[in-house]
Order: sequence, then C-alpha cells, then structure tokens
Amino acid sequence: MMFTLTINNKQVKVRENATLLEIIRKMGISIPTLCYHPDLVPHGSCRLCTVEVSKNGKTRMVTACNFPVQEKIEVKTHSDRVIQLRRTLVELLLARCPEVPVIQNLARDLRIEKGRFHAPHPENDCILCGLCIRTCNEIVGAHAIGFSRRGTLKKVGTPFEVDSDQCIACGACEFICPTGAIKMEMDRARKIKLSGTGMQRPCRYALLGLVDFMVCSNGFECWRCEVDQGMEDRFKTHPAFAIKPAKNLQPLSVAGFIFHPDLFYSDEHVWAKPMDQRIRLGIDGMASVLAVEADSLILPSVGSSLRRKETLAEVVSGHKRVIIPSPLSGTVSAVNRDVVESPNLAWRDPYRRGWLVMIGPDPSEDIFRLYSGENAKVWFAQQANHLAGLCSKRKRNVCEGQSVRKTVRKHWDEFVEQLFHQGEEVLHGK
Amino acid sequence: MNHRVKTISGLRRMRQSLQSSRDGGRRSLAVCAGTGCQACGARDVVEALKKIHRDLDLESKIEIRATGCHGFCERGPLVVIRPEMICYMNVKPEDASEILTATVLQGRVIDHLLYEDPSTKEKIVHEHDIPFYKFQRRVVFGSNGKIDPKEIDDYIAIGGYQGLEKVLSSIKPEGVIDIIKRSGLRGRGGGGFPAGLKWETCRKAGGREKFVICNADEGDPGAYMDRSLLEGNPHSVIEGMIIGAYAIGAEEGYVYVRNEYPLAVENLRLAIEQAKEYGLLGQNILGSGLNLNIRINRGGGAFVCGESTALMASLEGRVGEPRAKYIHTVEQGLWDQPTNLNNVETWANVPIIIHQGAEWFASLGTEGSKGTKIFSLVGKINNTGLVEVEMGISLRKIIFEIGGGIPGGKRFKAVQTGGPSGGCLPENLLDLPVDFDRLQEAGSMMGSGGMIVMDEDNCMVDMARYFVRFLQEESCGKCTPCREGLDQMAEILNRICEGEGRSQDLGLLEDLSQTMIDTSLCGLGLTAPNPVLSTLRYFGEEYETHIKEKKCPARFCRELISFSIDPEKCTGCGACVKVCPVEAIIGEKKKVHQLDEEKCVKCRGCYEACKFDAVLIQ
Repeated sequence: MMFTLTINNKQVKVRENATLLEIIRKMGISIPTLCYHPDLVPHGSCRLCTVEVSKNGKTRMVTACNFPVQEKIEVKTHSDRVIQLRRTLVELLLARCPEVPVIQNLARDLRIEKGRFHAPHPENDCILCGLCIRTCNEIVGAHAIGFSRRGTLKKVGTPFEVDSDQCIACGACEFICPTGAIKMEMDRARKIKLSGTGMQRPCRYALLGLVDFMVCSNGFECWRCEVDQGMEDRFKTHPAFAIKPAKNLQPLSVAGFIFHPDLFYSDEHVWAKPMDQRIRLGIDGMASVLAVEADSLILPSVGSSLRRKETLAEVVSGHKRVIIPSPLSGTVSAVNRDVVESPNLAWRDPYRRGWLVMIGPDPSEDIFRLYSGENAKVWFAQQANHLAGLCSKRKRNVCEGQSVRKTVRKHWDEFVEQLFHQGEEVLHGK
Repeated sequence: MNHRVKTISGLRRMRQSLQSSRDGGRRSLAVCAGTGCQACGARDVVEALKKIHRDLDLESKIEIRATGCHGFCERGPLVVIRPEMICYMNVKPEDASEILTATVLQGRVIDHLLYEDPSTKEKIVHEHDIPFYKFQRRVVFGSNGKIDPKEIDDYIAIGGYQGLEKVLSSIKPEGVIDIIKRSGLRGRGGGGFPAGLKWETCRKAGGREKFVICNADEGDPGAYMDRSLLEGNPHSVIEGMIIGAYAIGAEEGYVYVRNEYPLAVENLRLAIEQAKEYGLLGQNILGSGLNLNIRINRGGGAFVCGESTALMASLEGRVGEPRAKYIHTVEQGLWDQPTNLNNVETWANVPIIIHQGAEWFASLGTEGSKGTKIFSLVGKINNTGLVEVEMGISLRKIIFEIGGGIPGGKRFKAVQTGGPSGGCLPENLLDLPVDFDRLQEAGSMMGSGGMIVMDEDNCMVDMARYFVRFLQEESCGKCTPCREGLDQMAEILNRICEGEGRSQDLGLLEDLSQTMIDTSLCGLGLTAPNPVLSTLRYFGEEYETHIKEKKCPARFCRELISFSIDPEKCTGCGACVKVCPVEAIIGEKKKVHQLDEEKCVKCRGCYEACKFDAVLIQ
C-alpha cells in the first residue's frame, strides 16, 4: 500500500512501512541525527530528528527516525518551533559534552554561539547515543557491552566493568562512535585468549566469521596486517558492517513457521540448544501447531533418564494425542513448569518460554549429529513447505490468524504423519 | 482435599453455602492490618484479641478478622465491630480485653477509643458518622474492611467472583468490552485513557497470543492506594484481570509489583494460589474453556518501570527503558504481542462495573470522569490516609472535610496532585472539581492519586526542586531532554533556592520545560516539568522574591534565612539548647538565650522545639 503525505508543503507518495526519516532523507532534506544508523533499529534517544506532524488539525512533535509514515499527515521539518526545540536539545548536549566536535558542529549549524546551560563535566565525551551497544548486539552479535546506571550517570561498558569474554575486540564500536569516546586498547585486545586453549586469540576477521581461522602474527596491530588492508580495500567500511554476522541469527519465517538459525534441529521436530553443560529441548515451529489447542502436555520427570527415540513429550488435544520422540539421550535435569501449566505455550512461544526439558549435565549423545547452520535451514525449508502444502495448494501461511485452530483440527492426522513418521526415511534415504 | 469448582453454577452454590454458614447477624471484629496499622502495632493487637477470644471462649459470639487497610491511617490501629460499625482508634494491645468484655459481651462502648471531633470535642461511635468516612464513596475500597485478604472464602462470601460468573455464563467478550466502554471507565494509573477502547483495540489486534498486565509498580512519593488494594483485596484485582483476559482473548497475565511491597506480594501470591485451587485460574476456568495463568513479577526499584513499555521490557528480562509508542502496546507489547496493561485500581473497578452495571457506574462522577477515585491524602493534613471519593468532588471538600484541614492552625498553601509529574494547585483553585480533564486544564493531573497538602511553611521553589530531583534520579537516561533537561532544571532550581538565581533563569526554565514536553520519549520526561510550570504559574512571585530579593517568603530555604531568639518571648526553658546539634545556643536556665549565627547550621530543631515561638526565622 502507498501513503500520500505532505512534507514541507510538498506532496509525496511513499510505501507503507517506511519511516519518516527515510522519506525526508530521500527528498534531500537534511535534518540532524546522532543516534540513527541505517543498519540499526532506530533508538529514538537523541531526539534531534524531531519534526512537527499534523493530522486532522492536531499537531504533535515526533521523532522522524522511528515514526511510521501515515496517510495524509503534514510534516514540517524546519518550522520555527522545531528549530527552537532542536536548538535547546543541542544546547543540552553541548552542556554535557562541550569539547566534542560533532556537537560543536551541530551548535554552529544552529547558530548557537554560547549555550545557556552550565557544563559540569567538560571532559565528558560520550553522548549516550547507544550506537556502539546496538552495533555490538545487532551487527556483530557479540553482546559484549551495554548501558549501566541511569540518568546523567548512565554509561557504556561491559557488565560490572570487568573485561568481558564476550568481546571479540572487533573494533566495530570504536568505528561507529561519533565522538571518539571508545578507543581500542591494543594491550587488552591482545590478552583475549581462546577460551581453554591458552592460545592467542584469532584475528577479528576469524571471529567475525570471515576467514576460517587465523592467529595473529602482527600483535593485533591491524594497520600492519595485509589481511586487514585487503579487507578494508574490499569493503570500504568496517568488516562487521560489511558482513553483519548478527543478521544471520535473526529468526526467519518459512511458509509461516518460525525458524531460529542459532539452534540445532532434528527429524523428530525437536530443537536443541546447548546451554553451558546442559542441552535445552523444545518442539520446533512446525510441530508447535499441534499444541495450539493442547489440553495437556506430559513431560518426563526430573531425574529420569531419557533415551533417544523414547517419549520426550506427549501432547493431548481433545481426543487426539501425539508422542514426540527425543532426538538425544540424557538425564532430565529440569522441566518447564510453565508449559505444563499452560500447554499451548509450546505453540505460543515454542523457542523461548515454551521450551520443554533440559538434559545433562553430560548428555551422552552428540548434538552435532543434528541439523545446524545451513543444513538446518535447508531441512527446515523443505519440511515447512511440504507441511504448508498439505492444507493449501497455495502454501498459505498455516500459523496466521484465527484459522490455525480449524486447520489443525482438520489436518491433524496428516500433520502427525508428515511430522513424525515420514521425516527420517525421506531425508536420510537420499 | 480438592476444592476445584468445575462449573459456574458450582461457584454460585458454593457462595450460597458460604453465606448461609456465616449468618449475617453474627458479630465480627475487624482489625486493620494494613501496612500503616501494622507499623503502629496492629499485629500485637490482633494477637492480644485472639488470645482473649480463646481464653473467654467467645468463638460463638464474635469472629476476629485481620483485614486490609481501612484508610484512616492517621489513627491506626483501627478496630471495627460489625454489624453496629463501632469504630475504635489508636487501639493498643492492652485495650483488647476491654473491647471484648465491655463492648462485645456487655454492649458498652469504650469512650476513650472513639473518634473525637477536634472542634466540638464530641465523641463519634459509628464509622460512617466520622467525617473522614462520611463524605467518602467507598465503592472499590469499601470491601477491604470486611474480608481477610488471605481467605478466598471471605471474598466469595461478600459476593466476590460474581462478576466473573455473570460474564462467563451470559456475556460474549464483545459484550464485556461494550459494558466497560459504556461505563466510561478511564485508566487509574495516570494517563486516564478510556479502558474499554484499549481493550477493544487489543481484542482486534492480531498476534499469536495476548497478555493482560496489572501495573502495580506504584512509585509516586506518598502514594499507596494500589499497595493497600493489593494487600487488602487481591481477589478483586485478580477477578478484574480474568474478566479482562476473557474479553481480550489473553491466556497469560502478569502482575508487576514493587519488591518494596512485601505484604502485597505475599497476599497476592496466596490469592493466586487459592484461586488456582478453586479452578478460578489455570486451564478451563469454571468449565468455560477459558484459560488464564497469572504470574507475579517483582520490580527492581526503578520508578520508570511504571511506564508501560519500560515495564514490559523489564518483564522480558531487559533493562527497564521505555520505547517510542507510535505503535501501541495493545498492538505490540510484551514479546511483541498485543498486550493490555491497566493499573491495580482500574482492574479492581472491573468486577464492580460488571456486577452493578455500566449505567450505575456511569451515574457516578462527572461528564468525562466516571466512578470514584482513591487518593492518598498526605503531607500537612490532619487525617492522613486513603480516601475514595466520587469524581467531581472539590479539592476543598477532600482536604477540609474528609482530611480535617491543616494541623497546628497553619494556613493552607497548595496541594500537589498526581505525584512528581503532577502540579501544585493554590488556594483559589480549591473549589476545582476533581476530574481528569479539569485537573489537567489547571496544570496538574490526576496521576495515580497522590495528594500532598502543603501549608504556609512550605517553599514552593523548594517543592519544585524536590520533585525535579526525584525525577532526575529516576530518569532512565535514554533520551536527551529528560536526562540532560532534568539535570539542568535541578541545577537552576538549586541555584534559585540558594540565592544565586539569575534574572534570566525563569525564562530558561520555561524554555527547558517546553522542550521536555515536546521532545521527551516517554511520559516521565513529558510530565516532569509540571511541578515547575505549575508553581511558576501560581506562585511566580515566590520565584521572583528568591531571585531578586534573595529571600524565601516561606522562610524555608536554608541559604536565605537566619535564626535568632526573641528576648521578649524567650523564657529560658532550655528546650532549644537540648536539641541544637552544634551548640549554637547558649544561655542559663530561666534567662534569655542567645543564638550564635556563625555556628548555626539552620536545622530548624530549635524552631520546632520552642513552645513559646521565641525562635525567629528571617
């Protein structure tokens, strides 16, 4: 669907799921931003992209970066009111970080000669835009840094401000920081060891998954490294932004069935996730539809030993029931009481709150026997398409809307057949 | 024993049998065991009463019940004897035997435990004749005094879960929403959004699952009505949530409650357990096919987690920071699924509306604000406590008739409504009807229902500084205007209070306030300037005096006052000498004392200790 809206008295037609900032930028109108980056989920924290939006005679101030476009709105990006607000915001930031060039430039653009506010800590250089944290989470996928404390005392750092095992010293945070507040400490980067091996850590390209394995011979002085030079020439940006390793970990929807790329999958339609010494098991996005109207879900008891192909769970739904076999053997060390209490949680949230059991601490079978990575994706897509095809020739989204209950009731036997009795021969046979 | 009630008619029969086994004429004695009364020793009173109850073998004559908060916290511990409604105040464990022997056995009223009217000195026997209760309309809060919150049977016996019964047996989900819409119920948590509309949008939203949430993260300084409701009548909140979940199509509910409310957490936990045991929660509720599980989540002490999106982030296990609400939480809330969040008091209103009907509810209150509202009346007020009044009542009536006016013969100055995000209203607005829209027009807000009364000794600039400092500490720091703006605002107010204010500061405060209102990410920053703007609007001259004359008209701001002793009035009693922490006052007994200004730290100790008004503040 397309929307028609007016920006600075100019009418534009835009696609439905765009944000206001994308449109404004596309039109060549310049409005300042500090916390926005096209590759990251908008944060809406610096508030500099505030614009005036009127609809049905009502005017309000919104942040363009995360405001979804609407039909028939009138947008003003540089009204007197907006400029006044932007000036005060920049004055506030100038009081926080008076020495930071990015802020000084913004102040100059808005003709602020001297801010009206007192600067208590002029040496401060972090504007708390959160770009570094979001890059680490959304681009690199390392989740090494975050905010701690609150108010003006808020700061960026590793948990409890101790060196973090999660940090791979890729330098993406340093690269994205608009104020130069984050600096790589080469000494510390060198110290990051491969866990357990005592070996020196591999180079950042290996950790980002771009080269298979390489231990640095240049003392982590990337500017001396030919691999680094080559990559820089190739990407023209920081390698993390070129590869975006975290993007490959986002959940996908295949024919309406949700797939989490970071898990292991099995022909029994059970996913597995290694957690420390133990393995968490649950039913996958396809099998979860059988639990949509479940009356009860019977799980093994804690302490019992579970063997491969034995019953992991029994789903009872009206007069129908289905047994889900376990893909792995091990001792049951925990059972999800929430899912026993409300069995359709396994349908509502199969990969998170709807997990079933934990096995371990020493699962006797190798998890790597299961599908993972690219294999898992291929297997899942094939199965999911087949399942969707069972109830609709057009491979409609089975999981969508209110019809799922009806669909499952109607196709129960076919679903069970497809999910639990066919998989092994079909897939292993080829 | 299995208590599970499998059908709707089963619940009805159970209620009837409970009611007939507790015949109405039987006397009961209710001891308020809310947090306020407990702090005054209510637990000991209950123990003492129970012991004598046993010793005298009074089982057949009267039952003793420890209930939730009755509201009149100023005079706790409270004891009420039904059916006569004899109300005793400031009860001590020593009074237990007299209450049981004299009042219960002999029917004699104990004079010294009764309420005494401060002006006429007349003793008042019955609860409903005491002015504090007389002008209230206790629709939601009234049941607190009748039930033991730890006993689900008590709640069922007074007609509890009747609303749920009615809904499950004869009303479709859409019909329930229609009733709530027609009742005109607006959210009691602060925003005042029409609850029915919110429910409707949530019902219509897509998504794989839906949630209902009860916001019990009550953090406003001085406000404790949600706490007392959860402590005193948790089942009313649970019943409201079940009805809401049925109307919306949710199968999972959360109560997000402050960890600082241990009794509320405990009573709620018990209530959920008992409701589950009775088949009122869990799978297939009363055989209707409705499923709902309610979980308790204890908050970690951040004020901002009372904001809906921050609360949901916290529930998901993330840092409690708000997000933009251009996409509403009723469409994408908890775990990105449609989520309906209401406050404790809103949920507690729901069963009553269902039971009594939308028209009845809509007949209470004003055009735009229906029903009643519970306020916590605190500050410089004679009758501190929780009061529930019909919307539209005047502030004057709440403060002077229910609240009993200002203590010590001082003059009323202002009332702060709506907590730290509300505003200070002056004397000439005392006749303002209490109503969502009228309070907002006057520059304040209903908020969650805090009402802090101030007298002539309160400096309004200092008051604004207090609230701004509170919010400054509680700002999550995500967005620039709230984080930096509050910091600067606190600094400017501080400077004014310390006599360093500049002539341009008032303009700067106004500009800063406007920026925060227009650009803040969430309600915290958006309403944070209210204390400043409302005091500027109604008490602007106080700011001027601080800045231009370097004086505090209320003689409160420490940097702008000095202490001395009036030789005419000083009797040389020595009371001030004893309290002075820095030995700044010297003088022999029965002779006029002297105060050394050099040493004085302006703690006000002597001023408060002097019985002869001989300590002067200039």
